[in-house]
Amino acid sequence: MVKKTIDRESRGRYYERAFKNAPMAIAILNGPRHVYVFSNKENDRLLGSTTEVGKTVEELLPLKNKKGIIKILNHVYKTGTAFYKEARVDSVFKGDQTERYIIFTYQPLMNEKNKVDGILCLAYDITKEVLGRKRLKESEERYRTFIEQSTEGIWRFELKKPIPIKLSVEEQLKMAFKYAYLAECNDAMAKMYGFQSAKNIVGLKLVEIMIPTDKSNVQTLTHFLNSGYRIINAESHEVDKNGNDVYFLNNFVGIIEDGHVVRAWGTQKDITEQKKLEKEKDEFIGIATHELKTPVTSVKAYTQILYRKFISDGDQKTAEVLYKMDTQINKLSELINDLLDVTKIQEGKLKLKESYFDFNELVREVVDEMQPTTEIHKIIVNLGKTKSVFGDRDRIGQVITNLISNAIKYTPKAGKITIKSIIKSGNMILSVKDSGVGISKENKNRIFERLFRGFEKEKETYPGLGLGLYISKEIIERHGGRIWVDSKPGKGSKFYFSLLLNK
Amino acid sequence: MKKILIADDVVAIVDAIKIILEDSNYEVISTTDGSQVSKLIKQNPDLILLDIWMSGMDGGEICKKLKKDPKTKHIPVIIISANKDTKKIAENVGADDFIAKPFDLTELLDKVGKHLSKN
Repeated sequence: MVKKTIDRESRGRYYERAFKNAPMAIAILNGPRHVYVFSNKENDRLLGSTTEVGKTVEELLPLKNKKGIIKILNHVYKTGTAFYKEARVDSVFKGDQTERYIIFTYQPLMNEKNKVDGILCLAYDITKEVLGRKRLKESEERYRTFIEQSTEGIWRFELKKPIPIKLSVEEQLKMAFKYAYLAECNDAMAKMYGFQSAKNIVGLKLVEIMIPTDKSNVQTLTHFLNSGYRIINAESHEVDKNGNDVYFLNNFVGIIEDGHVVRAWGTQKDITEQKKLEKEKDEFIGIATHELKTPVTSVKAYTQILYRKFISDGDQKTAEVLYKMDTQINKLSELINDLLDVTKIQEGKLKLKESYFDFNELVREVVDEMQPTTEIHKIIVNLGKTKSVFGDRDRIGQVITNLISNAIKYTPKAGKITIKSIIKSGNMILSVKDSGVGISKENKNRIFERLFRGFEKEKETYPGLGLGLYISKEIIERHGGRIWVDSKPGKGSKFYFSLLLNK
Repeated sequence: MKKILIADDVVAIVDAIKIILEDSNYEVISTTDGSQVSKLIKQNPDLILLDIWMSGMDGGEICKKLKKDPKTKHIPVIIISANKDTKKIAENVGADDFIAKPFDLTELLDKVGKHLSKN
């Protein structure tokens, strides 16, 4: 490699070219009157005119605040301290009037005697960066406003120790309560717990706000862990700073990194008032049940006492009267139960207490209860593979009971009732087949209606309010399933319902 | 003669059960006030019929107490209730059996007989 010796003159021209074409405005001033000895293309563009070498700043600068600039230049010249300033310049220079931001630098230049003899003026256009910064700030402010103005609690929980997703649900749950803490939230969230602002509540551990033993909390979190770390409209039961019960409806999502849950983002809505009202309504329905059944219990008991007395006295006729009374009281009791269920459905208050349960085990349980209620029917059970179903065990049991009870009711002569369960297309399907009177085509569409009852040609209506199937349909559909029937008059009926597996 | 303790806050029901039990040759002690159960227990009944929902008193708590106390835990307790979830409630409080209101007298007598013969 040949070492090239560039002489002073060539170097000078090299520097001059570089400065002339630099992407920033460069001007060199000399002397106390700040005479221009150099001005590059950018500087000329900035000033909106060609700078004449030899002219002073006073003579050339077309600025409104020329006096201010000269004052600064004088200060730099006199004290030898550099000056920096970021300024908005659209209204200041000739040329285009768009919003522009420039960093100005005035650097003192020293001679050989280390005395200031000139000033290096630099101006760099940072409009893009400033506008970018402004837009980011505006965007941040907009989001912050959304979050701050929201009436929903918005939060971020972090995990001191990330939770490995390969652990069992129970272990993940334990870790969540142990290591999760509130890292960020809005004021609305803090107010839900009785605090004034977010800063009062940030840092609290999950276990301090959410009761770890509460059923709804465990269920919500278990569901969250089982459903790909996302959950919507899940209820939680928590405590505020005064120890009062507060209830929330939550939506949240977990962030997984490297096979670990590292944080969760979510929102919550305060439903404490609704829960209170629900509780009151439930209490009312509970009281109503109790109050209605109490006199019925007494009447039934006395009816049966009288029945026994007349039997033991040998008065068969009167005893029969009392027997009929007793039968009617039973119907009254069933109607009370149905009416209360319907009331709950109407008000949307039919609540499902969902959990995982063994389907076939439930079916066998119901059959065991129902078989003794009939002497002339044989209930045959033919169950396929069982699966764990997620739903309200008692209510599903109620549906199965209703179907079997109908099968018995509508098969007046002795007969077989066959119960079958199979798994098909991700559904658990149960069928109840009887050899009874069957259902006509017109009625098939109406049997699930409220208050619809079947009737025979002899104009004898089958007892009941016609609520059983209506309630069963509601229960099944609330579980996301279907209920339907295959039937022919005189040939019996086969009722089906399906429940989704893997909800 | 076996002694049965009935606790239910409705007089009519207590009287009805009393009639039927006395007719079947049982001795009956009763109360409509749940707080009196601890007193009547001292008369050593052989079986207890306990209503869950008595005004102001939770029959479930009474049952739990009875089943915890070594002096009374051997006495069979049958829970009676108008609540739909009677079976679950009975299980939760440690009762030996349950009967839902309104009940059939035959069913009542059968259950009473069954639990008395166990002893």
